[in-house]
Amino acid sequence: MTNAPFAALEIGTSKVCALVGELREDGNIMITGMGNCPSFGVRKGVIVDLEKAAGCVQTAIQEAETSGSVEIRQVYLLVNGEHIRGSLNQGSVPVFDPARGISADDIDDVTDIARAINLPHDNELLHTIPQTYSVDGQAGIINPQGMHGARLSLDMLIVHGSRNILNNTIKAARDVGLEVLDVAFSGLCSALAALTPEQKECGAAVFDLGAGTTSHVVYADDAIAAMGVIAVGGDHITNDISQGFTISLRRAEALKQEAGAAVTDTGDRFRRIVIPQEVGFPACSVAAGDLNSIINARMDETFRIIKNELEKKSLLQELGAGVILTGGGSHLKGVETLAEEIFGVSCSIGKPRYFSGISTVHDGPEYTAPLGMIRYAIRSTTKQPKKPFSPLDLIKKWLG
Amino acid sequence: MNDSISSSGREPSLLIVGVGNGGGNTVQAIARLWPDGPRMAAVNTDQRALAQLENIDRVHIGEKVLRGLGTGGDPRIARQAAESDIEKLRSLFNGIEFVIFAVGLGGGTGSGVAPLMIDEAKKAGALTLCFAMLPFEFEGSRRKEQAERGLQAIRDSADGVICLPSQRLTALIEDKSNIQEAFRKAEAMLAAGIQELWRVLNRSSMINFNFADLRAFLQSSAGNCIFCCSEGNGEQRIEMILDGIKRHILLNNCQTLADADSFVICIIGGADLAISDVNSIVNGILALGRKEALVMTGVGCEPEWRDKIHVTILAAEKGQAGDKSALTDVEHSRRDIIRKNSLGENSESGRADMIQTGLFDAVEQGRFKGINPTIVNGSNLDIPTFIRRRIPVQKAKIANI
Repeated sequence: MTNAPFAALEIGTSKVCALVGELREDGNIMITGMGNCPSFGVRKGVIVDLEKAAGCVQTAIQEAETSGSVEIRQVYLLVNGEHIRGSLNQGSVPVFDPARGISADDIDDVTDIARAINLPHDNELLHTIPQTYSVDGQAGIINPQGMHGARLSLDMLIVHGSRNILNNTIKAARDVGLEVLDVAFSGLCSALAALTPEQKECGAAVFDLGAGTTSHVVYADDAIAAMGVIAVGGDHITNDISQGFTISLRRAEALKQEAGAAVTDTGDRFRRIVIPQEVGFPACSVAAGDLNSIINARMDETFRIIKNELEKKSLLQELGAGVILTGGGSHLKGVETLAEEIFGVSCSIGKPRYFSGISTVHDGPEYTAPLGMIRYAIRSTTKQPKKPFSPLDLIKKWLG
Repeated sequence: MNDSISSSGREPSLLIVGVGNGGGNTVQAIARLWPDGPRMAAVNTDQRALAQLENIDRVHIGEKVLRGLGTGGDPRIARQAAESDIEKLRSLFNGIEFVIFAVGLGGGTGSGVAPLMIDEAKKAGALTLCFAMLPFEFEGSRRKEQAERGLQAIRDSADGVICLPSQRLTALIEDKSNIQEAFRKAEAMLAAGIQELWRVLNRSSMINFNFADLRAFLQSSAGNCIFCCSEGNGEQRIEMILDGIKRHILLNNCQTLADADSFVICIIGGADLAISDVNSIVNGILALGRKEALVMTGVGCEPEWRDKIHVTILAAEKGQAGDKSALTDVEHSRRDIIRKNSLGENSESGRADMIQTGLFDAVEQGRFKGINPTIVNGSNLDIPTFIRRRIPVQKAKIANI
């Protein structure tokens, strides 16, 4: 079954994307089909118009079926949005037989206890991610099996989100006849596709710069140490430009993509950018300095919000492998420079690892999350047989 | 004033052009003041006047039309001369991003050639700023009228115009001093103003005042924009600066500041510039103006300076009946509109172009209308960051192409 194709579906703010991929014998993942549709009815990563969103899903799935010459009935669904949160929970158990050391049963017990968290009543659990163990208060232990101690504790990162919003996303896929096999937080999927094992070990942050949201996932000591989503993204930049220059959102988007940069240059303030004439709108011009100031202000603010989060958790000094940017927003000129300036570590655009097939997919940072989802799907199915997903059965283990 | 502006980062390529006799002499004064400065050129129809200039590019125009003589004070002839050598003028602007024109108005070349050159510079993609010297009264009414027409033409084409009403300098000049000295003083003041403004545009990084700000300010102030530079050093630097401003001849005994609807204060200090210095300077200047005046500030640093501060003020002058400054009726009516704007009676045009609204003024949420706002640490992130950070941005302008 390992070689059967997997389909990942992302209902994003700017695009709905479906990818089909399969595991090759060399361990690489081959992307065999893809479908894309500009997204309607999604704002800040959350569906606001179910009917429109379902229509986009249909188009993207059909395109992926044609390009991959497969029939897609089952999908792995990415979810996103500010409602998705990560909370840290610690579980502790007394070691059953201190004389013989910590056993596998003790580890299972502490895992169960650390996973048991009282979520807000309208929230659903998405992932539970074990971090490091501590034995008798000594922290930072990666594998405690066989160690001596009286008390074993485990820190668990619990990823959860609003049940209604998650169900709406699932519904958009079900409405077009798809079966949802599993859901995963798209920020985690981006990290899964973009990071190498070495980077995870050294510590790295993956920022997914989406149209509706900006998420971050931080690896420290080979474990996910923090995650978060802010409902601010490329759409905000476009909206800022549109309001600043009083031009249409469409023109603002074009301006951002073609001429915008996240860093300002002294030369910019003396340069004007001409927006060509089109039906109903005369040609006009804006100052390049103003454009880049608008973008810079927004990106600077977003990065600093994340930086604050990481500072609070003392994670800034853990980023040995730096910051990796993924998502469509990482196409923005100068965005790496700005991130380097703010975080004080090296920064690069994420290149999905160990993928082959349709080249636009693994070259474009905007496909990192669905690529990661395919890896997630392959890993989860090789461990245990998959039964159809039910919203009531969202509890699952993160295998990254 | 002869500190060179040290370069940090890439500055836009600048060209300073003097047009006509007055302009050429001004650029000569700048070249002396600023030896390792940007490229400078003088354009004239009069070959003899050009021949006296040193260390600047000399561009002689109208050889065929005038055979090396001046225009006899006729702007139309000057324009014909410029048109006959248009290629020569165009080639000046190759690779230039910013052009500062220094023009003595009243004669033929300044009033006739400058508007044409500004248009050419803009066609070449450069931004244009024009410093215009208005004639002394003793130069006669014909030159004054010509200056008014020239100023109007320049204002229509340049991105920004700053004036120097030479007449005010007469108070500085003793009666016995010769006329040559009067002109030299006017040129020296203009030269200092140009150098200081360039410094401000490139150095005001702590509180940014950039060309977009300058242009918006100049375009919204329909009247004459007056500039004044003052500097101080040592212990008493703040007092020296404020004293210099109070006695500054171009500010007309501070009447200009007292009347101005808006003005700009740019402060450039050394690495030791303290917030208290900035505070005392700004407060000292604000005390001279109207309470309701809109004030923009720019603050920057020349790292090598010690104990030394330069202040540049730009103020839009209000005209009164019988004002001696070169203003047409059109200007007066335009300024009335602007004045009304500032009183809140009308919000078309003028400063309304600038988005400088506060947190509560901009609740238009565009794309995010009707969905949950993103609130982080008490700020609504759906409101553009640049508005919350009060970064001035100029609306898109209809392009004339």
